[in-house]
Amino acid sequence: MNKASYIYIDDFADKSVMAIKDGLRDTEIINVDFFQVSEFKNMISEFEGQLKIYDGIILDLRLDGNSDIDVKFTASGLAQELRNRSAANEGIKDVPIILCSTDKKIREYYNRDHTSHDLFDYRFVKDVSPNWEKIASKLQSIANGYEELKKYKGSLNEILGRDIKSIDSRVMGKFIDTESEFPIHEYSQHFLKEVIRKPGPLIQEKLFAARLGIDIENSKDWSTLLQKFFSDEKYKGVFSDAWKRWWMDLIQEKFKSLTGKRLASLNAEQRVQSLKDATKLTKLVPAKPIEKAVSTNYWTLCEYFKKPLDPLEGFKIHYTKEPKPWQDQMYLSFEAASERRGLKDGLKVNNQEIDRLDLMKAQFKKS
Amino acid sequence: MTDTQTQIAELKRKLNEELGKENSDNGIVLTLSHEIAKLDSENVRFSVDAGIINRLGLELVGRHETAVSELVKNAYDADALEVKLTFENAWEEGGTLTIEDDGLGMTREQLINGFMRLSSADKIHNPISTRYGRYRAGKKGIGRFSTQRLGTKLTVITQTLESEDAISITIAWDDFESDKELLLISNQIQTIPKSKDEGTTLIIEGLRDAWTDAMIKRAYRYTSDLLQPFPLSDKRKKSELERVDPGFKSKYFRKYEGDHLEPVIDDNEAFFQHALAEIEGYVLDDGQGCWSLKSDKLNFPEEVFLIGRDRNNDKSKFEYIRDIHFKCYYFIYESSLLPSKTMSFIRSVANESGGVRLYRNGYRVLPYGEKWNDWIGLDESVRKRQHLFPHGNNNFFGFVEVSDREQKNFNETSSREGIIENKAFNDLSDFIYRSLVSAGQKIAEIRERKKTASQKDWEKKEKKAPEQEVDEAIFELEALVENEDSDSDNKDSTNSSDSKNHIKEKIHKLKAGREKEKEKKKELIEEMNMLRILAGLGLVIGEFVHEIDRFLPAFDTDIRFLKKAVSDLKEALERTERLDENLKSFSTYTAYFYEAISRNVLRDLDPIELRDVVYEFEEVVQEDIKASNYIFHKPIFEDYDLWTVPMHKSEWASILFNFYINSKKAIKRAESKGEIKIRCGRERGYVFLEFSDDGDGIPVENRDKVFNAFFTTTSAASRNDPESESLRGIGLGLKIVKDIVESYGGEILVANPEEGFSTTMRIEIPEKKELLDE
Repeated sequence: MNKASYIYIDDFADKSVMAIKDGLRDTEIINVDFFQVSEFKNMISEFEGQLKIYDGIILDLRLDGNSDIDVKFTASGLAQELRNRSAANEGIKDVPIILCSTDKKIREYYNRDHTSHDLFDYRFVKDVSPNWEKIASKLQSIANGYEELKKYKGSLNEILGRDIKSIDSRVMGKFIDTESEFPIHEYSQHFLKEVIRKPGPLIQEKLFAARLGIDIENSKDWSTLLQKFFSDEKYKGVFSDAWKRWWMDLIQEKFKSLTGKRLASLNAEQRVQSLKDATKLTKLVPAKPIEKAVSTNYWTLCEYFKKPLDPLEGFKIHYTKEPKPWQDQMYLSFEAASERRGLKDGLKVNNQEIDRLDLMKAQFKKS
Repeated sequence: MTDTQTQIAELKRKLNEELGKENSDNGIVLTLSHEIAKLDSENVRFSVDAGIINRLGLELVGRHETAVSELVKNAYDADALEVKLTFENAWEEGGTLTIEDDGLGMTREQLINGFMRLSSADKIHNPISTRYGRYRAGKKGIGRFSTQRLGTKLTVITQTLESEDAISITIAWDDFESDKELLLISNQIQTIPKSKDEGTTLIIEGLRDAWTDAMIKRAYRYTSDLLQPFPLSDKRKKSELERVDPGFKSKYFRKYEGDHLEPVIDDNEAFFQHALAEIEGYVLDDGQGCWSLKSDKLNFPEEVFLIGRDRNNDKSKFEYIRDIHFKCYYFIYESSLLPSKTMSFIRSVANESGGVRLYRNGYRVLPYGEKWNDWIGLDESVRKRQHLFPHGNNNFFGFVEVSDREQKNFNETSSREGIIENKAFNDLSDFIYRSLVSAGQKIAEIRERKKTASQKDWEKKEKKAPEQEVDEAIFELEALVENEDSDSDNKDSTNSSDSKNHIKEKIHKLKAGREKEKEKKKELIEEMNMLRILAGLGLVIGEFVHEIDRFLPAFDTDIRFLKKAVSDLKEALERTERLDENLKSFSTYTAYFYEAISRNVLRDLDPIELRDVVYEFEEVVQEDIKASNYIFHKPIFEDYDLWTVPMHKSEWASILFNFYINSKKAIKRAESKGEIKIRCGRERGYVFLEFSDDGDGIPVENRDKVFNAFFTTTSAASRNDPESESLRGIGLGLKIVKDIVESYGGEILVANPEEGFSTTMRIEIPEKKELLDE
């Protein structure tokens, strides 16, 4: 697909808003055109025409903030209408809908209402220095993904780039049933939010390194290791152009075949040593435990420090939505949990873990 | 012979020689035998380094206020009735503290085996004091280390009732340096003439800390569980046989030139002067009852009222009681009547030991006036809501004394646990109950009258300002007296001129007071105006920060564009990068203030974990710290779950920023490295935060002043400075912080600086109370 084109809709039309459009445009990854919000009916009919040209929509969360124009709806209301109409084939093309807002507004409005969360494929924050390149490449990838999903709708093998029979059938859930037809945005929601963005069958680079016991920052051979030995295990399905992921089950098999050992039964030092022996790469360093942790049987990350952690030493985080059985739990290290780090970003210890945390605090107090 | 054997032989020879002398030196004997023991090849023994004394002292007793409170507790444990603390030259380090009690004192054996023996087990074996059966309050073995913590030299003078002389020991703590044997350091002991019957005096010289009045008062409050702020009957006796505790008092003084003692804190300072009213009552020889009421706070001069046995006849006589006297201090816990910190302190003591105590022939009778004992029926009356004004046991500190020489009416029960509840007893409790309630009623009435009176003033405000009315009334009063003066052809002239002079004197006093009041009011108005300006400014900043937010991403977009566009022009690129960096520091501040202000709009109070506010603060000042080349030490949290009582989070932003700004100024003045450290923990039901810097420090004489409004170290802004400049350094910062902290019943103080720093500000906030079912 060529450069994707997005419509950006906001309630203000001043120079601060234009800068958002320019920020994305300057990356030369996607094209963005600005439209000021207007009456609901106008907007819908506008979309009917414009979406023939454009590949996606970016909506500002509070479309009702400008008192100069008479608009009473927010991004969620508009997105819901668009989703309804495209699902019913009523002249609205099924396209990615992206949400953007300031961090504060997201916390004040969006985070409080979960019913609107599955309307949007992606959201980004307009803060001090948005990483425009990253955002633009995600938006490009999502637009690409919609195209691919349309094209391969019936074939999950094509979509995932892997034989669907070799993975846990629950991962694809309802989509395995080829009889029923689902709108594209449902596929997109499921793949992006459940399969790619949460750890489970697919994991991202930091978690990958943690499971191999490797300290990424101090291992110069890390990228060589990825390219030379783990390229087949890389995820190549939909959205893989902007989301780097690896298949966990394939990694384990590969490790076994490289070293002859089972990954999970080794500690970090042993994992790294085995890899060094098998690959002849010397610049690989085992990761040290986070402060106050001791085990190096890493299998997860501390969500605050983003450093390797043995789940046995970790504390499950509090979820607004519990992970599915085939997804991995996420954890906080004792240091992060006891020092209350990450609370601002919503990283809280799960209620079930509070007693254990208190017990450990008491122990550390004594020593 | 081996070397060792030779050595041992030599040492033994010397030892024999020393022992053979007529006046052998025990120090040498000990040293030699110690040397011999060390060379023992068969056995080894533990030895103790003298440095342990100093280490234990510092580790066991953290703060100097705690050290003093421990010594006061020791006096209590020794069954003292009174302990007197005198600080001499203590504004600076190196002063002297004398602690004198009238307790049991120590015998030579007790001194040697107790005080001079580390880790002695006396308090474990004897948890209850010998004479009055007090539960001992002092912690085991802390006392001597407290004296070590406080000063460099200690003199103990102690005497018991039985002893013929007093003994005195002097210990120079500096002798206890590391690499010496503890055993071998000797301290002089002397016998000197007794100066009183019994009791112990500690003289601590070379005080290690400077003592401000605030610190002394804090030490007093740390002993709150011992405080029994009861007025003492003149007839009170030390009860040798009865073994009933007559009570315990501590008084703190400063000594000035010419042995002049100035009280710093005692019951009167801490409690009685804050009482709303004093209530006193008598039953006379003929059975007539009366009570009197006096309230300086409500401007109510003493007045006496009659009270009869028959409720409807004030002149009816009590049948069974004679010669009764009681006195009570009355407290109402309302913030309009008491400063909040004082209020919470007095209330906490009153909850433990408020009420009316009973003395019979000068001896206290238990359990009357103990916690849970409601012999007058005050708490019951409150529960039944018989009267709506406060009149529970915790609203009073008082005593009643009955003289009953012939032991006719008040007989103790055979178990000696109180008095037989006969008719006399019932009359007594009825008399006190009705007197106190009548007084409470009267107070309520006076307060109500004041309230309505001031409301009326309010209505006719357009006509005349209340100040004006007062001034006019004074003027008229003065004229009245003058006029009477001129046409005084009175018969009884000496008498009337006497009273006239008296009135003139009072008018003079009134006028002087009025002037002072005006002065004070002017100050308050000034402070209020300044606060109004600041509040207005705050709102504007809030609005401004809110608007700014929208533009931040825009800046970024264009900076990026510029960077790309000028990538070949070195200087332009550098400038653009600088612009980028500065903008980022700028935006961390706006983000912080947005949080603070938007949170303030929600007026909800939440308990706050100190970690949360400290880490947030650290994040915000990070850029500034970097730019200023300061060192921000990793915050230290000595404990987990440091929750305050419910507060506004934004108040912590004010507190920490104020501290930070003051530190920056101090660092600049001192041209120091710029080290800043935050330390948090919990102590005695409070969580605390200490903020230290290595700036130019606060001179001891200013330590209590820095919290006053308009106290500032910044020189006044020049007339030509822009307004924003003139608003800085106006000296309201710490005053505001103090107001915040005290409004939650907390405390702020300039603590003695942490090692390596020159200023340590300390905040204590009451800890969040856990709900029982949580």
